[in-house]
Amino acid sequence: MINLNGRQPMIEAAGLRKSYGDTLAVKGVDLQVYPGEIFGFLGPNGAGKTTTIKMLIGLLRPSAGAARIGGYDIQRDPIAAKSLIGYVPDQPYLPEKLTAREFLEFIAGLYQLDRDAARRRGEELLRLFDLSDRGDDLVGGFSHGMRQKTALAGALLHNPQAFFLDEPTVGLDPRSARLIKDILREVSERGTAVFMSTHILEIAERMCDRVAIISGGQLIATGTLEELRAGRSGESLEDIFLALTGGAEEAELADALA
Amino acid sequence: MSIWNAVLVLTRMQFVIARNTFWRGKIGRKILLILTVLGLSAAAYGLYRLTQVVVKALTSQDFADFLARATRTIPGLSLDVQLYLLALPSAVLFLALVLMVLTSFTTVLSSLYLSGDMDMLLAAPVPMRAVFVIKFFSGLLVPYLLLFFLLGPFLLGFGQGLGWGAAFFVTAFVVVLLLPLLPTGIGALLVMAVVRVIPARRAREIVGVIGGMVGISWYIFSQFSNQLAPRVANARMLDYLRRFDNPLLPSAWAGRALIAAGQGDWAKLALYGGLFAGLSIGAFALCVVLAERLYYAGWSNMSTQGGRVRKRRRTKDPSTPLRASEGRRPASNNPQSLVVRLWSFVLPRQSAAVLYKDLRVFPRDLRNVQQLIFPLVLAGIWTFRLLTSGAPFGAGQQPDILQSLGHLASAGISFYICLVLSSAMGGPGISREGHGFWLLKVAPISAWRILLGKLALAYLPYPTIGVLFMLFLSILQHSTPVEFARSLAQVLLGGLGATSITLGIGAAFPKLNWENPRQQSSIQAGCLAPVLYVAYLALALGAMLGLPLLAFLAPGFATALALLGWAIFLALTAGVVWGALTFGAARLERLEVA
Repeated sequence: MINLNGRQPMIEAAGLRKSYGDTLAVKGVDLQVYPGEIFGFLGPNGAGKTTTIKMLIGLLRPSAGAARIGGYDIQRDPIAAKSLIGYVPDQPYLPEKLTAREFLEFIAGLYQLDRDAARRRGEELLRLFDLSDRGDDLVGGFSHGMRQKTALAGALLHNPQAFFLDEPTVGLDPRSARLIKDILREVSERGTAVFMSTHILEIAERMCDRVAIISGGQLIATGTLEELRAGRSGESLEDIFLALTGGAEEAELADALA
Repeated sequence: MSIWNAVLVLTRMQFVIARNTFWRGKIGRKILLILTVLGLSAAAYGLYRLTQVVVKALTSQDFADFLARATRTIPGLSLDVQLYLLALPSAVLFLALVLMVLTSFTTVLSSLYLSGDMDMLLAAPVPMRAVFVIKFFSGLLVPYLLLFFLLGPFLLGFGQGLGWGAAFFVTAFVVVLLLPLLPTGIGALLVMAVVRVIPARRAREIVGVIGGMVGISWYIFSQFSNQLAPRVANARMLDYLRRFDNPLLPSAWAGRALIAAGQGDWAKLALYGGLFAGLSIGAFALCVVLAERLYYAGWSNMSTQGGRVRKRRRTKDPSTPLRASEGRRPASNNPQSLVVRLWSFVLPRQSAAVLYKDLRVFPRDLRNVQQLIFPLVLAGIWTFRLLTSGAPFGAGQQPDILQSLGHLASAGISFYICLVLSSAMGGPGISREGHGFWLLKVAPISAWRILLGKLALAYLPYPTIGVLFMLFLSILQHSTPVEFARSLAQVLLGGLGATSITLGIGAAFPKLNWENPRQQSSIQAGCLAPVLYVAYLALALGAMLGLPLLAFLAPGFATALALLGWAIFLALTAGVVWGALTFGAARLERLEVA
């Protein structure tokens, strides 16, 4: 059981809002993720998950509110905050004309890591992800799963303290998906705060210490699974999710059509 | 689903997509399309009228008199105007056929293998041949447009000029319809054979380079055509026109069929028309038959998209980490690593990492390498001309003003070559990152350092190619070391300013959603940057060259004025570098990656 009392959050969102013209994509998100915690971020399509993540890591500027990593405001102290972040997007666009090893070397340069240590760490990660034999092949020839693993290796190279993953298991075979789950558990045990968005509720149920559910740009539930289940004995996370996001009607419709 | 039913469904889909693209497109795009159609129509009408005029001129008495004079100088030259007229369609069709043969490979490659809906089409229960037919004709859209807007009006004007009837016009319509089938069919067969071995994207890069080489060769030929080829405008060239009417050429079959239709010779129309139609349709039919197997085989090879698979490194023990030097060329022997180590003395490590990454990536995409060919060829041509001119400008016993202009011209040539190389290597700047920009945005690197790394790449031609070329020109001009140093300083400083402006504006107005490397520059950057760096060069050179000219007013201050000119040049360059990069960095910091 993770003790959340008296610790500073590694990842913090305070009143995050994002609007595109007249459309409010994220309507005020408040959350904290503590070191060593695996935090699941759930929501239906178009709920604002990716937008929230991108505001937290500095890819998007919030229309209002603040995003902090390790206490640093991502907009005011971007360099300090980003040095703590590792990020794996759902569709990792990597430089296609670099080999996997060259890509890791590039990341090492960007994060100003010690060259020898980064090379050793890179080889370890390539071996861990079964990419050692393909380390000198161009990324452009990789499958989606291999690119995902290469991006993961790049994100873990500098031992981030805040690790963001957007749909990390999509497109991966069961073995690779299991590997990622093991890795996430291991990095969280080393004190890294893991922020993971996913559609696969079984993963969230098995792995996450706490979850937040976003729908229509607003957080509608946050807490541990036990807290979410309070008063709903025997219900799975899927049932809770559908009940909170109004998906029960669609489930009935799907049953009727089948 | 039968093949023709499938073709009908897919054709309908294409029309719906085209209609939606137009109706739901931006108003600017619609206007551009309408203007393009109007422009092409105007050009077509102009060509039609021109052809009528030319045909009438060829049948005029004046032309007959010209021919009579020509036969006095060239014995054996025929007086029969009709012979030349009747050879004209064959010549034009031959030219059209050659152009389509040269472009068919790229056209067919893109339509058959590089369209985005292939996965969906091939996963659906649609016959492979139906997909092939649709993709084949999709690739012919632009050639058909050009044929109907250019070749069609020519044939129309030709037939009307000679007073021919409906048979000619119907035959002309059929010829234009069938003409692309043969070259495109050959192109399709070649493409399907090639992509079984080379992935389609890689093949496109290679073809792009070859196409660039062909274009460069044509440019070189045009530069030296006076020395290589006899003068064009003489009567003998008319006789050459008849050689395109060779009965062995498919284009001549089509041309002779047209003439036969115009003259009412039905037997010849049947013969030559049948040969041409049979060959064209036969080539297309062969493609459709072979597509069943060849097309799918090539598509399934698409998974290898990254190009050459490199030799795998051997590891002694998979459980132990590799030592840094195992299986890899030592860093000191790697020319790129040497460049980076040299630059690392002046660049922060993060900027050097960006530079090293770009240096690795640039030559691996052949489309980037292709852009370097033209400036290098240009440098070669100008060097050749200078070597063979006998009296290079500014050399020898010439007045001071001419010598000064000569040195300025040398600097200008070097600067231009480096500018073109710089634009090819680093011109797009941050836009070159494309969809991968998120990596830089998420990393703890400031926008300034990113731009420094990009500037190092874009500026690279100046201290390398620029120095060498200036040295070469200075030797030709017998310049003194001081003159060489002055010209070199002009090139290096001017290059720094121009490069910074291009980079800064490119970072302020990036285009990151490109798919083709040729589309990396945004409209704002493409328009603003040249205007600004031309203004900068005008001011800087104006100060540096203009101030010393004022020495005639105050002869005692010549040196001071010259130094002042240089000081202004330096200060302006420093200001431009700082201002452009700061502007670009500020805009880059605020850039969002959705």
